[in-house]
Amino acid sequence: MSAPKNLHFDTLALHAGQRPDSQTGARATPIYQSTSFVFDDSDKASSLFDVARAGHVYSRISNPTVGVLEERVAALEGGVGAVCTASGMAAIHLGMTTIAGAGDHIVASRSLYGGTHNLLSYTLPRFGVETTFVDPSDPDAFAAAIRPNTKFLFAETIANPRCEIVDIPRVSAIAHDNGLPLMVDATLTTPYLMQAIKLGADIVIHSLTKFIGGHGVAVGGALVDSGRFRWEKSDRFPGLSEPYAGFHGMNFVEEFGPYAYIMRARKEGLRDFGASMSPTNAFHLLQGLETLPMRMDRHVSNTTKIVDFLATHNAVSAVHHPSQPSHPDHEIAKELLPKGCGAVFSFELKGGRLAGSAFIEGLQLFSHLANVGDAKSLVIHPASTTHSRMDDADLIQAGVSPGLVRLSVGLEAADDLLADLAGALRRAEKVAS
Amino acid sequence: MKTEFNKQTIFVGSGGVEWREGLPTFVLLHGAGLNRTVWVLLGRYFARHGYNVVIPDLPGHGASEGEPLVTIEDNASWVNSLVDHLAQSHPLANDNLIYCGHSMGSLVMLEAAASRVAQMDKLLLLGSSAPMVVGAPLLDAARNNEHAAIEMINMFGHGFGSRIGNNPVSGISAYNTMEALLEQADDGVLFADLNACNDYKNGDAAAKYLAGNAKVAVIAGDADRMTPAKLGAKLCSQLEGSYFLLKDCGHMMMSEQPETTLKAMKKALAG
Repeated sequence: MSAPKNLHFDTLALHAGQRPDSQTGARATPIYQSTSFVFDDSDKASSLFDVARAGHVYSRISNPTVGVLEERVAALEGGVGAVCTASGMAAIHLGMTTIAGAGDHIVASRSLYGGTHNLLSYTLPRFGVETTFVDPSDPDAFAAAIRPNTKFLFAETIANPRCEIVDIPRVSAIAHDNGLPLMVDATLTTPYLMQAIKLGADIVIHSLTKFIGGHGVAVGGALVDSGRFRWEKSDRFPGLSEPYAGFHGMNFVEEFGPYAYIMRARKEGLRDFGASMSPTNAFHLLQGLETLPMRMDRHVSNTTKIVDFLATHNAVSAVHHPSQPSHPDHEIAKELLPKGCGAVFSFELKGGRLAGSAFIEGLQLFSHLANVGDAKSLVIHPASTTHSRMDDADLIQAGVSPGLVRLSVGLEAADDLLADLAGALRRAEKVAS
Repeated sequence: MKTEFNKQTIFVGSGGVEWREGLPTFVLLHGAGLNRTVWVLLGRYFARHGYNVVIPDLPGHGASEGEPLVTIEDNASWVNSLVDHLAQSHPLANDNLIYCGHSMGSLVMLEAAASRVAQMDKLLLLGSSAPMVVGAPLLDAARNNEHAAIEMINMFGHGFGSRIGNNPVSGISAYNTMEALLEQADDGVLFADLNACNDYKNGDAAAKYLAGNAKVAVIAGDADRMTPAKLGAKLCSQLEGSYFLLKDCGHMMMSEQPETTLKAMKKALAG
């Protein structure tokens, strides 16, 4: 039978995690710009340190303004809880190091944001964590790469810049069959376009800097725990399912059950690594999150018009967007992303690197910068910027050719964006000819 | 800790503190389809404030083996026997008892306390009513192991404010956590528990026996749609107990309002 449903996504985007301030009646979320919080009495103080009462101690660990954002992101993702961090990369680092340490292994998609690729290829190996990279479009490749010391599988829901889409239901089934969680970076899909947890993901990460914030004014990240992975049923996670010396001998699963992982991420990871979000940034990101559903609809509709325009333009040799029947993940996109495949994609100009430069120089409305998911339309040349730390072999593996141009389509009037692109394409054509 | 009891491995939490000689035994029991983790903050608090806290997972729940027991009376007998069993091998009193239960757990503790009046120091009933009638749509959905049963409990079990959130436990969605916790129960567990609640007929007799013979407190949420506050008040009246009403709080008071629930429990224990 059907059951009564909780509040809808659009309502939660506006309200989840916050009620009018009980002291002042403030409707908007107040910015609690305070490093620390006064204890009512010594009993409350000791109880907070013993995790025997609820409340805030110090803003590196938790903060009331940040807490609203955390609860809202968790509500929208369908997770049991979230921890917000100083950046998306901080969330990825926190997510990984909460369960992986020296001697452990990760299986990751080879199509990743450059920073993530760097973390897995160079930084984590310095701390004894190895990664095997696999083709994200081949679920069996994930299975084949799993080792006895593997801790999780990792992929981006939509990879940047060629928009490969990982088959979350199949890859999560492989992970679960092996007693492993699936961790996904869902920055480009947001919880509005894809409910990754419902599809099978166990841990979801966002760079809130992008579409969730939306306005390009604050950097932040979020780590979301689905609460569905049964850590105690796998023998790979003694740090969660056995007494952990790193936090007073606490057995996180025994104490917290479904939210063991996210509690350890906060209690250990924020304590020791300290990549916490500032309350002011949380406030800015909350303003953006309130309008996420409406903005994403506009991002997608603008993108559809631009993709259609580029796909038939003489100066363009290829458009890499899953809405295109020629895209290798077109069918899985229809299944997993019925509301649209996002607003970040790439295309290739017939004139290669020189045409690419001319095109970018010819744009007036699109901003040339290293970000995506802004309300304003953005453009970048990945090989010389976001992916510049990769050598040629890694670039090719990540699907980045020298002439590739990435767009992040904003909320401007579509006709104005199309006119800007048309003008820049004329310049590119001149160089190519 | 895990212990062998009735030829099964049973999980019993202690609030993160080892039991010590000379302290009253405070037993906290979870509700239908749930487990010990609903008591995490309160259990850890009382374990550090003068009590030996005992937080069992009922058979077939959480980390305890076995099949769920199918009547409130069977569960009550199990709890009393477990306390005796633990007292044999641990520094745990079984004659200075505080029993506390939530929802189905409150019926179990009501019944268990009625057979141990002489040893009972206090009885705390949270989100309680007797009888505890369960609607046919919920029972049917639980019988068929439909996810709709979980959704109904979550919707009816949380006050509107808790569906919005603003959890004092930073970053945790109480609503989604309850859904995840109920999803962890094996097929048949939720139905067995709800059916046991629905079938329990001994509440009046237990209350009559306890009234005047045990110190009792009932803690209710004014937005509780699972066990409405007026039914909790009626039970409290039968028990001649103390009544605490939590404002803007639903049935899942320990996760919805851990601080106000703690305050009410401390008052109840002091009374």
